[in-house]
Amino acid sequence: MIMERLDAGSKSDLIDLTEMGIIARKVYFNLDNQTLTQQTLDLGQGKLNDLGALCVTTGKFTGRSPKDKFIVKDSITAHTIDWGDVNLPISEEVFHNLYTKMKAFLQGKDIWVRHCFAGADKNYRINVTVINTTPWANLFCNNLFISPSEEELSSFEKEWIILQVPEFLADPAVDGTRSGNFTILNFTEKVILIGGSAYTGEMKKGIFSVLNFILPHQYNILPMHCSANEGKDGDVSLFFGLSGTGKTTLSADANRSLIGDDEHGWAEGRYLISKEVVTPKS
Amino acid sequence: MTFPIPPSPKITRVAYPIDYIPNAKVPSLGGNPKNIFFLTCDAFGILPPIAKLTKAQAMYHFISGYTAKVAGTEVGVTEPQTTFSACFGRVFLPLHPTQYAELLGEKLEKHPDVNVWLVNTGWTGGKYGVGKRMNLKYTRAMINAAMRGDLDNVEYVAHEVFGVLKPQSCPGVPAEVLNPRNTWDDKEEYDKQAIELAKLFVNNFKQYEQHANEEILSAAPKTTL
Repeated sequence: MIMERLDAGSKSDLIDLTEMGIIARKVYFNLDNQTLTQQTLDLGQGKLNDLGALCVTTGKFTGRSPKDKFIVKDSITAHTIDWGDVNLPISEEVFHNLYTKMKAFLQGKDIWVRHCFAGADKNYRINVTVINTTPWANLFCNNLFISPSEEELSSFEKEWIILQVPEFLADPAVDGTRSGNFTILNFTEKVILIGGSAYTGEMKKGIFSVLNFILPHQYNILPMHCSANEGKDGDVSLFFGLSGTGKTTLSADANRSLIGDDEHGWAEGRYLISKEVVTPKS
Repeated sequence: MTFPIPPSPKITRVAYPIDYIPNAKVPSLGGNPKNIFFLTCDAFGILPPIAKLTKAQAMYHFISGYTAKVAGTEVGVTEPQTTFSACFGRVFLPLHPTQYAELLGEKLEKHPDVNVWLVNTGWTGGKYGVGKRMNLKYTRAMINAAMRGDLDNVEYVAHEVFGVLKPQSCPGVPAEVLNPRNTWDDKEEYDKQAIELAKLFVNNFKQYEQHANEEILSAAPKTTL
């Protein structure tokens, strides 16, 4: 019974990960939210609340782990990144070693893969292929990033890859990380590795970090951590502010449409960026 | 709403598709902004509830990314804690904050009709423990007035310490609220506190000084009256 449900709707002929060295048992590709929700329930990884929303626990990590987030120091980043507490360098060697180990770890496992876009503007969006080990992490990505149309999907070219494997723990002594969990951004390989943490915000913020580098660096677009709304005449307002300053409250206005409430880019004449994400605390 | 599994004592978060929001715009694209609001919750009660920023001030406050929080619930602890997070999101910036600020400056240069406002949703009439939180109704009225253009042709007075421009009238908001010094019983205490806050800004900015241009540096608050 469970397997029947798990098989539903998979379009794995559209994705081949063996060229990347990932030999999974089964690849569930670009499933819809309903199927991913049902799979999560069938696997016992989550439950529905009284309103029908899927609830999961992310385990040890209920937030990002900033001290375990690294950027690979290479020819692209060495002289451009503002290295310091928030941008910790790591070597190409450490990255490649972990990347290889993580891919090997997926051998014989079921994985959930989806192609999506980060950025609403077709001129500047990036293609993101997400590889997860749970249906609910993949569901999160479908909510946060933009889904390609059938047509866009058939011509989708892999660009950035997020490999998120919460079950994979690094061995700091051997692998060169600080802890068992890690997030590593590699701008040359265009890969984000996430291990040891099931907190899905690592994927979202990982992509934001990527865009915060690429947009100004390549396109002279200002990336902005703000809310944006639009009046009936098309006038746009932006709201910046740290937690607790009223950003969400003040940008929610019945007389104005909400463009987004987290990340936007100011290109000439247009905004872009992610599909809406709302992360209220309770 | 009930939870079928024990929610984390620390945090619960929710993610859903954008079209679950009734008035969301899809695709999420718009034109150049007309108004930019930098929101801050100043628990010292110093910054005006709304102020217009010059281009240099916009860049300075963008890099500063200031807010203050009320420290915990410990008995006797009432001193607000400052938070400065460059570009209102320091932890996600791979490049140096001044690069983003200069890009903001470029955009503002190119679009001189864009208004940048500093909005204090925090305390008025005294700092935390003495004054009270800004009335949300007033904040909404000020933001709406700014968006409608109602603040385009009113009188402005520069703040004594921060130099930001305080509108002297705003529909739906009592005039005295617009001048925070007037809301404090003890004006000397206000001036003293304003200088203290200015010093915190300047101190925080030291880390960016060597990368910041003259224009940005000129927008720093005064540290003496």
